Amino acid sequence: MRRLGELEAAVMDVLWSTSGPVTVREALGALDRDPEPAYTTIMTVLDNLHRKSMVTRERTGRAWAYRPAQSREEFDAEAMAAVLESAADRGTTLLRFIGKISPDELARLRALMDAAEERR
Amino acid sequence: MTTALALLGYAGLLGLFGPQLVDRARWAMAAPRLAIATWFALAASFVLALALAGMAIVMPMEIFTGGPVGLVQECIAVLREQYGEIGGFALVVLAAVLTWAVPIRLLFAAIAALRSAAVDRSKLRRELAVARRNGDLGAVVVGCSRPAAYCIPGKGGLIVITSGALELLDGPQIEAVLAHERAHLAGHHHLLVAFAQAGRRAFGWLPLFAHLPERIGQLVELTADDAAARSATRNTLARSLLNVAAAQVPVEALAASGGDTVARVERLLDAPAAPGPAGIGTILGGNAAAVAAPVLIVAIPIITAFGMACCPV
Repeated sequence: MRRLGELEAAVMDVLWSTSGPVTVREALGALDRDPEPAYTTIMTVLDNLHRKSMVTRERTGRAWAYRPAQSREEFDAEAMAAVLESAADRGTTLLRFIGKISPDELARLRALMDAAEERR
Repeated sequence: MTTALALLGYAGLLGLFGPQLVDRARWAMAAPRLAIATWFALAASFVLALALAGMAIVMPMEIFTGGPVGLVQECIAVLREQYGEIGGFALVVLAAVLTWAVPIRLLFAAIAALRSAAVDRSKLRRELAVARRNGDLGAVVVGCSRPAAYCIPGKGGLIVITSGALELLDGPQIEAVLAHERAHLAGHHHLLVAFAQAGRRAFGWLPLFAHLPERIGQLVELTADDAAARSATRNTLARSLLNVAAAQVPVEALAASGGDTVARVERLLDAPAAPGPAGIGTILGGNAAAVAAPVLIVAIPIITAFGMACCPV
């Protein structure tokens, strides 16, 4: 799983909310941060994101323009799957609305659901 | 010495047969918070009994007639006199272990449990770094077709719900799910589970502590269900549970934790009778008695000794 730093996440946010490719200068302009990060910082961040295969890039004139490699939805879904599959301790790290369930349990739950439906 | 043996015997019985006291209780499902309190009261009673047993070994009754100066040397001298050079030394070591090593072991286990949980949590938070927060829901919404909701405690807490869950559930059901997660955060349920894990790390070989994290884990779910059922209806929450559960991919060969969800739904649809004020009083009284019992075991011979004004070891 590719994990993002805080600034990386902010830059990805900019890329996801823009339809076309984004140059370093444009990304810097769209970032709403105080203090404003340096141009070279954003350049490094985008370079790192490219190295992590989070973004693709193409030449526009003398500068690189970046696009997200996958949609936010795809990325979110992957992140979510990683969280839900993580072997993290139940109860201290993450409290889930519903734990993992077995097929047998699922069948009993469906039966309960039908019974509840009939009572309506 | 009798006092120490009595305390060790008490701790042994509690460690072996304590779980049966609560597992057999029918009120535990109806009053999960009382059940949590009872589990921790039994655990505290166990640890207190061991620590006091240690003190009872090295602190003969002389301390209550003589001054405190040179007390420990005096105690050791008395022990040696009575149990011989080697026996006396072994007893001193045993006493020190019981008095100090047991609570310190528990403390370190708690620190380890809390620390590893904090590390895991910050990893999970990083996974969610790009997810958007929805102010109306008070939760982070993650684009994922699989319906799920959870909370990550610490740092004010973070509630996460998937877009799949938002599509599947209606408004009141979503509110019920979020209320359940908020109850976890507000009740600091992760700390309760962490303490239970610390107990297992320290004394996992005893029945009292072996399954404590699972038991507390299930009881905090019931507690959160109750809290959610106060703002939504029990039926709405049951529907949310059923809907989300029915959309899960089942896992074959599941550990002992399985069966929780069925129990939760049945409990919401058909609420078990909660203990009345008298019942609650009895349970809380029992908890207080469990914690007080080791102290009483120590106190009885002291009181007797004072009464008789003679103080053999």
